[in-house]
Amino acid sequence: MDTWITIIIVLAAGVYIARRFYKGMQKSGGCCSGCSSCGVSADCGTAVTEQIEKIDGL
Amino acid sequence: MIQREYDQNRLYTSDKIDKVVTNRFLGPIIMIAVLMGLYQFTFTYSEMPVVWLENFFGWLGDMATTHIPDGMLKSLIVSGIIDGVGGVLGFVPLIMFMFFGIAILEDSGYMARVAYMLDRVFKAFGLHGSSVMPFIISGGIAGGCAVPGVMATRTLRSPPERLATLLTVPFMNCGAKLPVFILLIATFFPENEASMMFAITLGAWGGALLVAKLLRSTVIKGASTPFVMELPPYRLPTFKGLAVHTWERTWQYIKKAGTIILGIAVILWAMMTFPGLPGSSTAKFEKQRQTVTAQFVPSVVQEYETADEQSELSEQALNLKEQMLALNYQEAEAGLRYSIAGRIGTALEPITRLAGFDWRTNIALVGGFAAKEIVVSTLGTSYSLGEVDPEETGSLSEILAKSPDWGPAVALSLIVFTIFYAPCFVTVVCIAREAGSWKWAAFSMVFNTALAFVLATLVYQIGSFFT
Repeated sequence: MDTWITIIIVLAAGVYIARRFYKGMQKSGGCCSGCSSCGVSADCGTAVTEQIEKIDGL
Repeated sequence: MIQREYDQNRLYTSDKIDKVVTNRFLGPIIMIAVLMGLYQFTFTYSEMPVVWLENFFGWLGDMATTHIPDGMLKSLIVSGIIDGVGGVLGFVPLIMFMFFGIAILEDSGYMARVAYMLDRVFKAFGLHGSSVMPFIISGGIAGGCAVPGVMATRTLRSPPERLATLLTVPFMNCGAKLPVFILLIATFFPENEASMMFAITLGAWGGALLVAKLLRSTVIKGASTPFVMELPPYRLPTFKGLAVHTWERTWQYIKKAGTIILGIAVILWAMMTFPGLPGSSTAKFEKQRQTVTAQFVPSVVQEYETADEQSELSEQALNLKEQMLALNYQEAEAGLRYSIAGRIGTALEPITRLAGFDWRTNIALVGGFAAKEIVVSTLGTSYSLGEVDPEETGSLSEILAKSPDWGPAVALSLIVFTIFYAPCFVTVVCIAREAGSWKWAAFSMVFNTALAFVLATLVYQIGSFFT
């Protein structure tokens, strides 16, 4: 039982990671993982403009 | 009727401040002081909350060890999840303080002045003034991300300058690299935390600019283009604005640790656990245990077997305990080395020893290709899997400080390697897309790793003379 639960958790983690990376590669921005700490949640393409505006002060 | 007058010759407050802040001589000194102040503020004020969180994860690990029955699931939860992901989450307060400081610099308008001052430097290295923004977004000060940094190179019009920028932005200290630096600085350089962080920032910038110069004079030749930038006026940051910006970024860090990092940590735990030692090896260790036990009289063996953590053992029982712990440690290490990840780490060891990295560090660095935070979580898991004495458990920082394989020279070497080695997987995909060819993505992986290894080896070999 213990071993089966562990195997299911590991498989679920594998499927989850593969899906996240695959989905990210399909997106225009190429960002899938909710980049750590850049302040961008999912779609880098639009958020980059905001980041540049913040720094550039445009 | 309201009439507003605008005097073109008037010197506004922002202009007056800029005369000092962006001065050719005073500007860089102020910039260095601001950065040092930021790092000092971060390390000083986050020390206590980091210790609290470290203690919390230690308590959580102890609780799980006590209440979950021995087996694979317990190992996954304690070594894979709590010691792995806990190591990354333990730095949340420090990251939060760092983001708060950076939000002040951004919201006040000072970050734009940094970009303006660096433009002069960038030109000398064959980059464009607009390259500064992708660098800062990628973690120029600390705590950005190379993915939006690579995307931000779209603002550059000249293809050679753009390519040189997108190949060098991954050298910046993104938020994912921060836990690695913080862990090593706090463990091996606790007296000079802010200065070390500042030196890492300078090292990343210096390396990126030198590589840019090398690329622009060899494989990416082309003329430089002019740069015009309008500086926004200074503003007093609002508390709400600072709180929102700090929380947004901290939440992204926590979310990534709880999703992507957790998933990869579980997979890496499996790679560090399976296939497990073959029956013949387990039997060999069991036989050695029986040999050790046979050397002691039955009363001593019984005293050792029935003792709990609080019991005081006789000298002979202590001797037996030490020998059994040494055997358990050897078995745990043999199991880890025999695992899939262990074999990869061990295969790389003859080369990476030149830079001071043992097989455990190799596993962490290979895992770091998925995301750089994985370096910390994998080190946590690999040392946790090798732990055999519940009384000797401690934070990853304490374990590294005690380990004979670690020291300031190894820590410095690993810091240098982490700054420069292959960007994470997502960044590589982004580089391929933005450069329009997988050739440049492959170049970025191979060239960066080779450069990182050469630099790390130099640092380790020179550092070993002094330590």
